[in-house]
Amino acid sequence: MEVQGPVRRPGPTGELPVNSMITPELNEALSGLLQKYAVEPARPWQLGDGGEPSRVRLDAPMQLLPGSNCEEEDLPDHVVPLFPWRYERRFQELRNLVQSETITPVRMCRFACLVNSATRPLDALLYREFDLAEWLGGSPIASVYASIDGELAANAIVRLEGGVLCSVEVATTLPPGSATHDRHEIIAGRGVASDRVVDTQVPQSSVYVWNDQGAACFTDTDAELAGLDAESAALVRAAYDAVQRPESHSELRDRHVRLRQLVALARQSDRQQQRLDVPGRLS
Amino acid sequence: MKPLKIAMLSLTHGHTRKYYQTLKDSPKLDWVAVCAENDAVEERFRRAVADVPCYRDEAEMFDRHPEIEAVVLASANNQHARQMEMCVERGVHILSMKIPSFDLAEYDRMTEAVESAGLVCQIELELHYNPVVDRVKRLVAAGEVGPLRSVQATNITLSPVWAFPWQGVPEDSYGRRVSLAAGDGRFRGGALCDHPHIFDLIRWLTGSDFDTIYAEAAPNIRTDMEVEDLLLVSGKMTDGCTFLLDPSWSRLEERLEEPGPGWEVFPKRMEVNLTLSGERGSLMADCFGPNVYHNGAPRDRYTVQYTYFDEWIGLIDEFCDCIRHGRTPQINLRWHRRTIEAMNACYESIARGQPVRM
Repeated sequence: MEVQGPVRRPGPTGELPVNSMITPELNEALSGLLQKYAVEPARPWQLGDGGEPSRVRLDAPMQLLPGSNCEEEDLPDHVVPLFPWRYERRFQELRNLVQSETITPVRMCRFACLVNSATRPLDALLYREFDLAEWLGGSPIASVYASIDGELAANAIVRLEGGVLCSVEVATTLPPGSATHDRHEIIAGRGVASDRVVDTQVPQSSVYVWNDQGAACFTDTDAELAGLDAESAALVRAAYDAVQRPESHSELRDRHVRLRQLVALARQSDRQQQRLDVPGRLS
Repeated sequence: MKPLKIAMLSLTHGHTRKYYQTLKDSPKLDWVAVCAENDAVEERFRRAVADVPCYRDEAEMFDRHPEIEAVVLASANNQHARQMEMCVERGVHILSMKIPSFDLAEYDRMTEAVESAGLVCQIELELHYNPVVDRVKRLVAAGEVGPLRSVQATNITLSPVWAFPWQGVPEDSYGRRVSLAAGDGRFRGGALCDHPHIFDLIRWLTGSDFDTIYAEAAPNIRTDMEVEDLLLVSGKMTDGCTFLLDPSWSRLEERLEEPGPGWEVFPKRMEVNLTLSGERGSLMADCFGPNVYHNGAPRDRYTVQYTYFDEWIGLIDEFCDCIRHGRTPQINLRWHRRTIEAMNACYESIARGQPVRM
């Protein structure tokens, strides 16, 4: 039975510790997209995914990596942190619903993400959900209260500057091989929007197959990147955008710094058992 | 690859707005001009697109823009033959909407003319460029469910007739006024004419041809419409694979003159779902899901907000590639004829009350 997503294999070694694998499929997909649209990269590049911990080459002139998998706050100049979830169609449409005021005014968000521990560390989940809270909610996080159990689970309540309240539930407790289960619900004075259909608890897929080898499911969202799952396709789209717009790199790095600081603040909140305001020093 | 200089005719088809975006965005295209069919259509076009010349006379558009290499026939079905003839005379390649003609003699004249002129004529069956359909094709080709023995497919939508009235006029949609069945006050030209995709897909997936087709129409849910809106189709392929197809307009709509938010009454306005059963297993697919969901403006109803609609990228890629490299589109007139024959057989079966052997 075919398994969705890129085939993983060990990447080259180097000195920069990040949670990433270099997958030829993703790099080929990005290369194809750049060629199709005649984008001339300013520098040679390499794309890493959000896979198991590894090390990436220092000598690659431009390393494109999911920011959530870069543990350091200060990244070398050649590392470009990406926010691939922003390129997932479901999040783009949720944002459209907010920005077009199809649902308005936003009052509360309820975000959740459960993964298996081999996929991403807990802080990477907080990083992603905090970014989505600000990106979908439309204003920066102003305060954080977090209750965290080591590397297993975290529950946080954050308030955005605009007053929107947001819950973030994350855990790395699913068994190995489990697919990610997440949910994003935005509640407004007029209307509720969600990436999960009413009366369901788990994500739906586009295709389900049952045969003598077992069961499998697939969700394909990007015709130009056929064969890649939604998360991988979003990563390639994010990388394409970063290669196409080198002027965005400093903004991406600033954003990464802010999110790392927010995650650190959540850890601090847990240690102090206090709600903490986001200090002005944050980017 | 040099961008293809392209124009659009009529602008009355339901997919017209999608082409506005595609023709603007695609680096493979240079959008030269359009010809609008009437005042209302022109006004809508000018609101949507500011910088593309809009004509009201097709010949004038072609005369003023001899650089046009290809056109999108975004028109009612009964306009296709005349417009194709004009394109052939001028050596212009054609991207046709999904029903070139239900009149097979006319259809064959189109084929002959296009092929004699050495032109590309691609039929717009955009589902071929849908990422879920791509996955299903690859799973079936890889034998994951074995040889197919049964296929069920829905292609169910709301009815577009209030925004695109020709789709409810038998002469414009079917090509002539033909009674649905003896004693039935309705005429051919409704939901079936809007939904050829699943008739085409089953041919691709099975690699087989239609053998027997049986169809029945239900009483309309829109009782003021003179064409059919609900029907079911069953039958067998020549390899024995059995099928059940639902090409209905079974999702009610607000009767908007211009499609937009709040169009749907049922939360999901368009569905193409497949269930394939083979000798090794089964497969279920939702070609337009999952999505995101809301109950916000303008009508506060629970609504599917689609996250898929980039099929036109692949469709245009193929069209340009065929023109620039002299290739034949996968959905060309000759291939598509059998799909049209099958749809005609559905109407014949409804009229007879019995299956039709193809």
